[in-house]
This record gives sequence, structure tokens and C-alpha cells, in this order.
Amino acid sequence: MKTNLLSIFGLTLIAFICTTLVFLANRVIGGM
Amino acid sequence: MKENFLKPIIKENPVLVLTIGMCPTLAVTTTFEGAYIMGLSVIVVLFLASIFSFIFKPLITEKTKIPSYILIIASLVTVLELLMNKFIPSIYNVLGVYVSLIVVNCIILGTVLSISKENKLKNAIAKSLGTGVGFLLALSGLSIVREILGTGKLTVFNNISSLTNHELILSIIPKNNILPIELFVTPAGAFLSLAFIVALVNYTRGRNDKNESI
Repeated sequence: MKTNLLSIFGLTLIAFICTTLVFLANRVIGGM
Repeated sequence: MKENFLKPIIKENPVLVLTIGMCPTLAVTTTFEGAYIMGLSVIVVLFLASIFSFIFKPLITEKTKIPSYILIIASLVTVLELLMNKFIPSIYNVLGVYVSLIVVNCIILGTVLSISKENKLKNAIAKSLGTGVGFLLALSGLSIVREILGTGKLTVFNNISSLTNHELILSIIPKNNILPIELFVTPAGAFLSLAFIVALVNYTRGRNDKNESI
């Protein structure tokens, strides 16, 4: 149970960080 | 650490020994320029992916390893694509879909998965850089053979001249009755050249292994 929760939390956090990174890069560098 | 860096370049070269990541190897090696830009892109993505995977290690469990690494690699490749599109659009257009395909390149995912077992960051970075350099060398070697035999020229700076401010296309072999052989620029030529290079590498490795066993 604890492992499952950590998995879901970890994956969600990584997805959030990665999406933020791409969003910021798109804002700074400029869209395609 | 030295072993971690050198092993993927020579003994376990991803292209010439393990034969993984064949899609960009065969597709972008028509010019030397395209090949080394692709190799450098892979090195950058591998290097950053190894650092990011190390940072996120406490959040990644056994079950979420693959989706987490794919997320990390995909976001890094997207940033790389944005940068390439902004600063070197001509080479971005030449490489086309193969830049996006770095996400699903098994060299990257395989390396990141294997370095996730490493406990020290410097070992992980050495291994990822070694794999990247091995890929770059294999791609560059193959593209040099293909471009010289196929066109008689060697393109060093052409599409990236907007960055370097000058073009450099070397004429290696003047036109004669035999060369250039256009077959080498075609996909069939890619397979043939790769087969000869892999055969040569295997022959050399076989001889070395024999010498070591004696």
C-alpha cells in the first residue's frame, strides 16, 4: 500500500516537474 | 570510473557491438554533419537524463521506473528540439523526425535503466557519456565512409553555418570512373556499409579475444 502510494506520488511529481520544465522552455525559447 | 567510460565506447559499443539504436544510425548518416549533430544530441540527452534520474531516484520505485524515465527523456528531448528549432533550424529540418525519435531510442532508455543501479553519480555520468561518445564515434565513422564513397565530399559545416559563420565542405576524392558510387548514399548503401564496419569490428574483437585467451 505504502509502495503504491509512493509510486503514484513519485510519478505524478516527476510528470509535474517535467511538464513545468517543457512549459518554461517553451516560454523562454519560443514556440515551434 | 575509467572502465565505465571506456567500456561502452570500445567493448560494448551500442551500434557496432550491441547493434541497438539502428534507426538514426541508418537514416542520418548520409552526411557527416547530420551524423555528428545527432551524436552530440544523444550525448546531451544521455548526460542530462543520467543527472535527472539520479536526482529523482528517491521518487522512482521499481514499478514506475520505465514511465518515469520516459517522461524525463521525453521532456529533455522536447527542450532540445525547441533549442535546435530556434538556433539551427536548417539542421533541425534535415534531421527531421529523428530528433524526436531520440525519446524511443533504446540506447538512451537502456543506458538510463542500467545506470539506475549505480550508487555513485560520477560512475553514472561516466557510463552515460561513454555510451554517447560510442554512439557518436560509430555514427561519424559510418557517415564518413558513406559520404566519401557516395559523393566524394565530406560536409563538416553546411547547415550549421548560421552558428559557425562559415561553410566547410571538403572535396576528398575527385570524380573519376569508379567514384563516387551513389549506392552508398541510398538506404541499401547504409546497410552495406554498416555490415562491413560491424564485420570488421567483430573480426578485430575476435582476434583480440583469441590473443587474450592465449
